[in-house]
Amino acid sequence: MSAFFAVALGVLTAIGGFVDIGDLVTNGVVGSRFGMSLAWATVLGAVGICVFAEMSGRVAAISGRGTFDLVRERLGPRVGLANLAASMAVTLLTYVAEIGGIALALQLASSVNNLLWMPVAGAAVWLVLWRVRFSLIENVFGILGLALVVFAVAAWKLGPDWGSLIHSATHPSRPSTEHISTYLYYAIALFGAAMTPYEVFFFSSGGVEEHWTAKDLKTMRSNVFVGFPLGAMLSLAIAACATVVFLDVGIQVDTLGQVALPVVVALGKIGLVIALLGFFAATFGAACETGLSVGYSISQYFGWQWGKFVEPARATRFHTVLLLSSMFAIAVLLTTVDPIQVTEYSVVFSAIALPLTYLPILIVANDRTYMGEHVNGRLANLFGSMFLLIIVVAAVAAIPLMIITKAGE
Amino acid sequence: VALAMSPGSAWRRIGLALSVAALCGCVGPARNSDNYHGDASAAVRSGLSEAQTARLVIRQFLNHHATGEYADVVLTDSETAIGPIQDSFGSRQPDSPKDDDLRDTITQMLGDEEDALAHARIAMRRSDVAGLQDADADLADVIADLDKAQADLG
Repeated sequence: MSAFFAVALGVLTAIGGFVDIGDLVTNGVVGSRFGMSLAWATVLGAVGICVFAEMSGRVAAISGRGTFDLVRERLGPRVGLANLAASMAVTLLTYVAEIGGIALALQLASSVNNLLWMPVAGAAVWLVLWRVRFSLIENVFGILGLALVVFAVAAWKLGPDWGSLIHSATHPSRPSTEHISTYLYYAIALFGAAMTPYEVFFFSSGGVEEHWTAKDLKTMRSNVFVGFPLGAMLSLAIAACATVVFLDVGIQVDTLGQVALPVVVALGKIGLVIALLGFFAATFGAACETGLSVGYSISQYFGWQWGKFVEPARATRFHTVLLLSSMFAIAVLLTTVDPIQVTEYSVVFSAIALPLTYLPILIVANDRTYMGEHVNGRLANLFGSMFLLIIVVAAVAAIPLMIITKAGE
Repeated sequence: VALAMSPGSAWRRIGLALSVAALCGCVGPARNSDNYHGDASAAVRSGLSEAQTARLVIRQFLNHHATGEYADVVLTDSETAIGPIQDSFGSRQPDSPKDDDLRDTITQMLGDEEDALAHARIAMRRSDVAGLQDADADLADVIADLDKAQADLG
């Protein structure tokens, strides 16, 4: 029975933990401008993250070592450093966006300006990373993130024409008011939001934190193949709500407050409170994950002691990285940069950095020296190669599309 | 020729191509009446989005569906967004004198919208129901004007 609860808890955590500030904003923007015609990009991203999360989780369970530790050993320090630099730049940008997201959620609940919340949010995240147990961080925010199911309830309560919604999702066509380059730009943004590199670093390093072994592979796979797709359904529910309430009246989402508005229309104050709780949990949980990912990756590359499973006094450099990253994030946000814009850029830059993140994982997962009998099978390699090709195309197209569309204007 | 190119030269060319691409993104398009109408249309679309958002949240608040704190933030965000929309459109140069009327009309509408949003924000912070109803009516007028302008612009 305890094994059943472990699987159930893992799945629920994966569902609640799937959505972060990037998913919230991008799905709101896309739903309001393109309806459900870009649902395919979310589905594609969800399948991609399942493929690579399973691979990296398997690598962690079998080798008992973190991703960057293996990347450096397998591909050499130079390639490892390039990989680290690109991934870290994006993860740090995402960390800034997540802390900004916490401040925005608190502002919506209190009407106190988000600039005043930003240092509080950054300090709270750092304190949690320093003092709170890993399993508690993962489970509490993952479970609270399930509050975002309120978007699915709101979508049902709004009573849309389901046939039309499903038809636009399954027969994608670009709205006449939008240019093809903008459509493709947001497709890449949705794909990048679903496949953010930190998710894989956190998932695999978390496996090492929790001492996964080959016996845990089934639990890990159920988390990935059940939890992540259900998490992606939440993203689609957010887009569906925005489609139903905003598309016809010409509202284009550009704030987090607007993302919650369909829930307010459908469910009133109770729905609003639940949505704001979901925003807070999703962004706080993701901030913890991205913060830890920065610390994990840098420490693993340089061979420092890392992780929450040891006392902070025994992993001082790891905890120093967490502290400096938090201070950096707060400093960036206090320049009055718009957290929503940071989020929009972070998801597109994620797409650009994806090949550098996922190619090494594919290589390590194919290495019998590390993986033994658990090396990638044909199916894993088929999907891995296919998605690597898609990732490279998205990465190459991202910057030109960003320039042409003026970042999706 | 490409095969004879040294690696340094290849990198320089790639760098040059990227710089040109980046500059193309920074420099605005050539000005003509069509461009100006496109800018006007974009400004109207953005203004309409903010006005519709504000009306929606005011109505939710008046129906006791939204908290005052939340409605205040959403209204303030809409009001804050209008300034840059006005500035961006106002900084565009009309190609010919015949576009001056369009410029005046759109600028006037966005100014009216900013006033209506400011009234809504003030009323919201005072929990002034009558003031919010007035602001809602003002925003309805603004939306009607913007809708008409959008239809005219095509």
